Amino acid sequence: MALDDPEIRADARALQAYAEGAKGVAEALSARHTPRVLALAYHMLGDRVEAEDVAQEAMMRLWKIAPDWEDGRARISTWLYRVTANLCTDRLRKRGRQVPLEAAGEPPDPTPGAEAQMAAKDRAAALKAALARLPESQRLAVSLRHLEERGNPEIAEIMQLSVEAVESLIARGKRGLRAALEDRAESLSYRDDPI
Amino acid sequence: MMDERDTEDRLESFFAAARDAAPQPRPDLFSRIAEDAAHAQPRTAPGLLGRFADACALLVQGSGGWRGAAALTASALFGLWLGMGDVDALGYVSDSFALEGAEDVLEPEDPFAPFQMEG
Repeated sequence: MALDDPEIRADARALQAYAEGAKGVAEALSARHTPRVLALAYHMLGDRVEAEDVAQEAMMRLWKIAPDWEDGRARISTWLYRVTANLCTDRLRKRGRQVPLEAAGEPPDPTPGAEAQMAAKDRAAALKAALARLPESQRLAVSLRHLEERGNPEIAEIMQLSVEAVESLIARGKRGLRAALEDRAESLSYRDDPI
Repeated sequence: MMDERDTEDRLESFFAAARDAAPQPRPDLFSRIAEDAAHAQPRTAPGLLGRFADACALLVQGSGGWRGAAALTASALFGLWLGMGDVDALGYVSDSFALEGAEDVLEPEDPFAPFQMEG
């Protein structure tokens, strides 16, 4: 995505308007960016409440930098992902461990007739647990690539690494996930569906 | 043996499930963020009129509220009128304060007059 993308320019203009005192702009920016910030924080931390705190803090930093934001300097989404990743790293280090609080995943939904839903929930829980076992940088790279669906050049910008380094992190992360999900397959009901 | 493509597809099914399971922001999170935004939003710099209004508010506050400020303003206007008004008007003002028979009070009879000796 180029920096002259209309969506990116619209974001920058909205942030400028906010900095100049316009009303209602912050809500629009928040509606657009909070979901992705929250999702990344959740994939990194595995805890909804902590992820919400991180999302709020990341957005707060956006409000604070608004008067100094230079149009064309960066995408707001990229900047927010970077801030979110740093905030998550700080929290993980404070925790003293890299395993998300809910690494074991949520129990499957016992509602009868919800087999497909249960299957999806089980898969999501299994992936969450497997992600939690990855080193932090691999988890971030894989989350950005396959859960947030960002391109490798943008991930490189977010992580401040080369594209080659990002590709390597993603490849190693996916190998780690496959290994973890194979272990987990024994406890899942999808043994006919190997990873 | 599974080929690479199948493995990739199956892993993708896990990613898709995780994407769908990602939490959506709750209304209270949006409210908290909106409060932060309102609190952190820079205010536009006040113009000349705004600065004058601020100065007036400060003056009113420092002089004991609106009553104090009104008394202060009236005193100032009176002083201005005295200073810039017709000088003759001051005579009228001082006359208006003079009491009838004030000359007698101000210039009483000489109490030693009976003792004065002629010649």
